[in-house]
Amino acid sequence: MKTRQAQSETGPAAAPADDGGAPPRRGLPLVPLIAPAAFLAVLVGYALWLGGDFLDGNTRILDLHQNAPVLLIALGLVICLIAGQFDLSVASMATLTAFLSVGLMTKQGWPPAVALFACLAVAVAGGLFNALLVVGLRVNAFIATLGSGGVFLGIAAVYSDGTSLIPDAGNDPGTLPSWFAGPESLTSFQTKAPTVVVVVLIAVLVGSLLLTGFERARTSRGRTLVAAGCALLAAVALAIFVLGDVEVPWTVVLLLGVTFGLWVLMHYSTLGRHLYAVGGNALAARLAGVRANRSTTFVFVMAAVLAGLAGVVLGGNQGAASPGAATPYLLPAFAAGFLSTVLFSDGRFHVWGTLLGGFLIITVAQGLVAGGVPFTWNDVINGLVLIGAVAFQSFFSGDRGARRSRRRARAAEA
Amino acid sequence: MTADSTDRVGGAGLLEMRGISKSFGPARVLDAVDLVLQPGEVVGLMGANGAGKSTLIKILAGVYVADSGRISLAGEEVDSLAGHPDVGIVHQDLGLIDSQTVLDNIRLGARRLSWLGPLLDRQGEIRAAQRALAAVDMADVSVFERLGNLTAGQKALVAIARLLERGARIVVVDETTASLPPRDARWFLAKLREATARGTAVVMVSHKLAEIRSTADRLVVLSDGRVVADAPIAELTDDERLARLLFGGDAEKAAHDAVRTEVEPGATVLALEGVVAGGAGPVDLELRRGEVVGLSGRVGSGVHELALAAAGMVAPDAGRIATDGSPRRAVLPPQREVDGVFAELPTGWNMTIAALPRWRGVGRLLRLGRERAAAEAMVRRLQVVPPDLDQAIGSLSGGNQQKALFARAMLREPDVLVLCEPTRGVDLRTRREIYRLIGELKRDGCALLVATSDVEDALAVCDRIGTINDGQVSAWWDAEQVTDTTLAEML
Repeated sequence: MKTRQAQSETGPAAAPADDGGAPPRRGLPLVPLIAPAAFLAVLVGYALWLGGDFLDGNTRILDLHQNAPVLLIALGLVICLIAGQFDLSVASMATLTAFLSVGLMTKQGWPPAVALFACLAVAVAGGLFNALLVVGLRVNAFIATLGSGGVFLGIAAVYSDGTSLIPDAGNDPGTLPSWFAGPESLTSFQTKAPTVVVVVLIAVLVGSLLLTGFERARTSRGRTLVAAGCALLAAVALAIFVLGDVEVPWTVVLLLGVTFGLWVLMHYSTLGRHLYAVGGNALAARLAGVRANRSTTFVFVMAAVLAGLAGVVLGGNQGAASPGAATPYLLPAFAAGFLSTVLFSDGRFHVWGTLLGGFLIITVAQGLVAGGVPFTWNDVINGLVLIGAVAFQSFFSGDRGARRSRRRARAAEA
Repeated sequence: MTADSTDRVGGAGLLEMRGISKSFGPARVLDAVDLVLQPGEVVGLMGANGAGKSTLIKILAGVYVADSGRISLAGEEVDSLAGHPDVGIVHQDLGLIDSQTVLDNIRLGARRLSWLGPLLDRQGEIRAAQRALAAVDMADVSVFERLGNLTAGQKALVAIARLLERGARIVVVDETTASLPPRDARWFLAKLREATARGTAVVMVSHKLAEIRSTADRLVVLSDGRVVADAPIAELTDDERLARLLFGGDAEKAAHDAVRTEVEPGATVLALEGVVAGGAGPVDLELRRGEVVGLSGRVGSGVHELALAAAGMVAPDAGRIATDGSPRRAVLPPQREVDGVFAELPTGWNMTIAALPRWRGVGRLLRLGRERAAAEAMVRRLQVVPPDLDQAIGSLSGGNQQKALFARAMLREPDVLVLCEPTRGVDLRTRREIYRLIGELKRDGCALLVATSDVEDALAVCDRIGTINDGQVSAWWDAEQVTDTTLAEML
């Protein structure tokens, strides 16, 4: 009741008088706890339902490995979303590079390095094409990338004559190298990263968390808490890794490495800040001296390149490519991106939040499958998560919250 | 200054507002205001920014409810005018849709003519729209014309027709003419006069005395929430006295507020040579270090476009902007909600966005600690409330948002600072702080250009003031020589 009164006092009444008291704080006070609470709820709920096996580290790592392409796509997508753009063509781009990576190495017999470089070049060209449509021709990003997605998928179909592409070792001019595909390859779950890489990875991740925490903490007590929390986290991670006999495949190393790189870009670079600004208010960004067109071009290229990388990982992992292989990835990728606006306190799109959100979605889906729900329900869940994240965000923050407190103020006035 | 309350209409009018008071928090915005409207009467409403005009209109429209006072409509006492079709308001932006026909615009939001059940009675609507157009003497315009093809004056009149068709007996014209070309404005006002002569009362809010003089029967002047004049136009012959009433000696007050620092102007850092932008110009203008140059003009006069061109943010339509070397330029945008703030982003990011390269370190990565320290120093210096860099700027009050945008421009350490409407929507204290900051920047050798529609701003801080009328700089004034007389001419 008390907060309600406080809110009503800062409704329209405060606007003309200006500076009249503290403005309303938006969002929920407990929002920073949502991410840990959600994970805890999911894990504890599933552990109670399915037994302690669900908490097995290797199984969850396998989830990450299997979904590495989805999560890579989601990471590219979230960069786009941060800059206020949409890219519906990412899944098609992934399918295209899956075909090209496998096909160019086998059917065309290109050296692997050349084939991979070609994939990269195609992805960059695809991103530039999207940017040309959106920035140059001022086509709405939704329509532009819907169309270009059709083009990319179509090119993949033309390249493969509309069928699956399965290497035929006897007759093809080339074969897939063993480091790219197969049980010994970098894209296989069987091939684990050496201990030292995993330790370095944990150190880097916990270190960046520590840095972020230090920025936010104002008091020395806060800093001590952050440091203690990070030390605890590092200890737990190492303990799980060593005692739990958990092993980490290269795909997961790649995924975490890419996320870390993007986080540095978004958090520590001028460009990253400019992307947030363009996404926040393009006109204001221009008047603040941000080259908005350049930023927009960058995000489309970034999204396409990460989607291309996802396709290559997918191709290596499968050792083959099938039409529309990556098409089902679009929905969960969007869901992961939008979940990042809910998982952290600020309501913005966030790189780490996307990875965590994606992991959360996957875990929920896997748990349901393990509990006997047919996997065909996956898209239902992904769709609901996407809608739920957006609805939660717009309901509890921004305009909606402000509007409700204004309505209350008017009711109080009348 | 004494309250002037001659010739207050005694009898029961179409609308009678008596003793209307309204406070927002501790600030009393309206203090026992009386407003009586007679049928067929055009009343001009004038007053300086913050005098209470918009609040009075919002009470009239039923957006706000008065704290005390009585309102009676055609002799009948009402609590609030909310939802009454009798009162209609036309704002500056008209609220019409260019891509639709005149017919659809007139019917927009109207009650369905519904003898056909859920289907529209298209013929009936067409007849109603034609009647509405005829009522404003615009029968020559087809109801099927797309609104976008009409002239600005015709569009404004369509907005009036729409209100009359809905049964409005009181029409408020809220600075509608401010964005009209002068010829359209004159035409529109003449038509408005005719159309409402048969019993509709008009309240006309305007900053232009000439316009009020030619159209209104009566003038009501608000100052600091009080009616300081309410008299037939014919009796108000003394422009100087009017200007004093309007600004309540604000010309002197503004000069007092300004920490007028006498600085010998330095080298010219930027010059406009025959620059045309936003329909205004050509303008020749030199900006020198330690000097504040003002461009004063109405919103829509092109004054902001000229300023943005000087800031290097938009390319001018013609002419050249010459710079001495490559001076660092920063701009305070004219409409902070639209082109200034990133509402969802933290206040700190909003402040540092234009100056990020200052905090680049190893590998061009940002040193966030230093960025934060710089932003915190600015928050302390400008007294931004609340002093929380992580809070989304959209939750700050308008005045504090304006301070943050000021900080954004100052963090850039500019050689040339272009300020558009530096005090728009800020309270008196913030206004004084902003004047003081402008004085400091001037002393530090910054060249400043102030583009404003607020004459007080121009008088308070500028050394030279150019007034823009009909797209031309009609006159340059030396700030020291501006008196109430010249002020009236500037209106």
